[in-house]
Amino acid sequence: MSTGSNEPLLRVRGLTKHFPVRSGIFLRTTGHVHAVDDVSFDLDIGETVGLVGESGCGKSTVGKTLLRLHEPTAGQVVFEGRDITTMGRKALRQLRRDIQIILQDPFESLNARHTVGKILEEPFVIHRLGTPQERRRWAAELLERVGLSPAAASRFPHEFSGGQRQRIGIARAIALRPKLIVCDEAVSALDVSIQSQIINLLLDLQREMHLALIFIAHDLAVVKHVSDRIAVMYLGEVVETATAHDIYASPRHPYTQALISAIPLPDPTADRDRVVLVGDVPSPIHPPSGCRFHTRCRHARDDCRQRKPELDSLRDGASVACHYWRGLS
Amino acid sequence: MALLEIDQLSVAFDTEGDTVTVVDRVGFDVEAGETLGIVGESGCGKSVTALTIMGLLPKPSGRVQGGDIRFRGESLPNLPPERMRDIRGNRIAMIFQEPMTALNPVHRIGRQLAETYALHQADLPDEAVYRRTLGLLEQVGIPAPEQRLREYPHQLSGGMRQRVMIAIALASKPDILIADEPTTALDVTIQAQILELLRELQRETGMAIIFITHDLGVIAELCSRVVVMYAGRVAEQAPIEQLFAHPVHPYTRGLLASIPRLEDEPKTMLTTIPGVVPSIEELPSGCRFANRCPYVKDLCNRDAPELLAASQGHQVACHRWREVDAVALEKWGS
Repeated sequence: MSTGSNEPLLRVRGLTKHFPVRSGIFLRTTGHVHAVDDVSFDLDIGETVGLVGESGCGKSTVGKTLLRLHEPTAGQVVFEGRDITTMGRKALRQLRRDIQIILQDPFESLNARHTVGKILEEPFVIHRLGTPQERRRWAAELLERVGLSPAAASRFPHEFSGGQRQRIGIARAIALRPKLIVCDEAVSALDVSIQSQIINLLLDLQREMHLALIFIAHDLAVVKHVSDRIAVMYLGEVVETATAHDIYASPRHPYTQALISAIPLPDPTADRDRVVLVGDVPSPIHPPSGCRFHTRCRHARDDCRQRKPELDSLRDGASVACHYWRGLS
Repeated sequence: MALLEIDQLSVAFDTEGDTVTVVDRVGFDVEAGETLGIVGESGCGKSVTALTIMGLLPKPSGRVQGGDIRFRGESLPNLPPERMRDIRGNRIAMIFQEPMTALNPVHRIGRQLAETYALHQADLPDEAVYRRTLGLLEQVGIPAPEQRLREYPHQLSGGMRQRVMIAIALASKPDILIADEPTTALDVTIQAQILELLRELQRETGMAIIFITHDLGVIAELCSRVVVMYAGRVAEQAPIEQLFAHPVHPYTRGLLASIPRLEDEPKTMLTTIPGVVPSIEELPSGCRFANRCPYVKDLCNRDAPELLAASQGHQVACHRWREVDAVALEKWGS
């Protein structure tokens, strides 16, 4: 997804993550969950790539695997020329200054007994930056930057609402001035009026800090709003990539088309032909043969059940993995 | 007379040494066969209102503080428990966001469906119960129903579990189905299936639906009328086209403007409603939206606005809606 000939900030190639399924009393591995299969994309400085898809499509696993929160099964993740997948522990710790993650509820992973001030000073402590006075000042500055009062530093996480907590989560993520933040369903649990505040904050920070974002969410309207480019995932694979504008204006893959048409529009006068997908997403332990979407695709032919479509690069920089997309629209 | 009348309903919860009113003088009607949407953000009181209608408030902390709920003219809050049990289940049924918490994990689907007949139609022979449960699963679009009847809830997907819940709710052919965020936990393609199913079932059975959600998209798609709630009060209610084309409460306006829309240009700033909802312990005495409202005046901080008619079938609780509307008309020309 880079535009120039220069090396992108992040290059993901063939990223694959299979989780073993263990059963029986000896917990023998009896199969694998194909969570992520052969995912590739590039990300430039200051750019946002959105990963969108339904539960079990692997979008969150991509985010966690490229941070090595999960060990990848195969593939390469190159950040500023260095391959993350082969990094040692020490290099990884340094890398976490540059790449941060924001989760749906940032406080699930934090010590509820620490004050917000202590939580925000922690990244500086870990990386041995500043004096105690400086760290306190930086924490106060971070709170102000995300729209909270510096007085919040002496309070505890449970005293804050969901939106305020996410502001604190963002403050912690930007503390070390990272180059890339993975936002994993970061605004999904928020009410609409709060969600729009947090989205604006992220857009603002991105502009100011030249942040690159990987924005993972199931809500296509939200992903489209914050992304430059979008990758649509289904059952562990990328089925289509395009600019945020094009993916909505002219979706190519039948799954993308169905996904968009399923979104309820806040407009009672909207009149449209809905593609209602039948059935459920198949199990990622035994993904369907050929094209993984063929069991729910209304355009599927015999060929699709046997032959797996490659993710073909198109002239406009987009890509699509479907044998017959040209004949669809 | 409407099928269901919610009349100046107030619901309070007792907390440690304190009483908080979480639903404050809420009023709306539900007509037979219609789909009424109740929309609002967390803590607006939409779910508590639903639980109160069902007589399912957690006891002893929750109680009806004032007002009335009338079903076919009969007042529900003070009914004897047996009579209420008869109405709940037979006449008014409810489905929830997470069917897994409502289904019993150790009983097969078939048994749980049959149970509703045992409770409400005890004289039905086993063979008839089996045939009816099978018919219900078919009606809610569950493939291979004979097999599903023998399965446990965990063996079903989220969408299938919600279909089972709908089947259980339909068993007694209720007059009203209350659906509290039934598609919120589902993927968008599965949500589309469930909404389609509810529409179909309503056409077949003529039941009324009260659909509670935070998602204005779902409201627009399914409902004929909508009640907008904010911090325990009704802010506005209107026929669906009216509310989306011409909202008059500043909160509704803000809410509609802050939704990211598919047709928006990517990476543009969204309109926001500044600030946060006042906490339930520190509710203001005046208008509850006052601290976030761009049109706030002294009056708004002093007196709570009444819910009054703005036009035919359209009500709003705002002191300044006429002025705001005039300004907006001038500014936007719509």
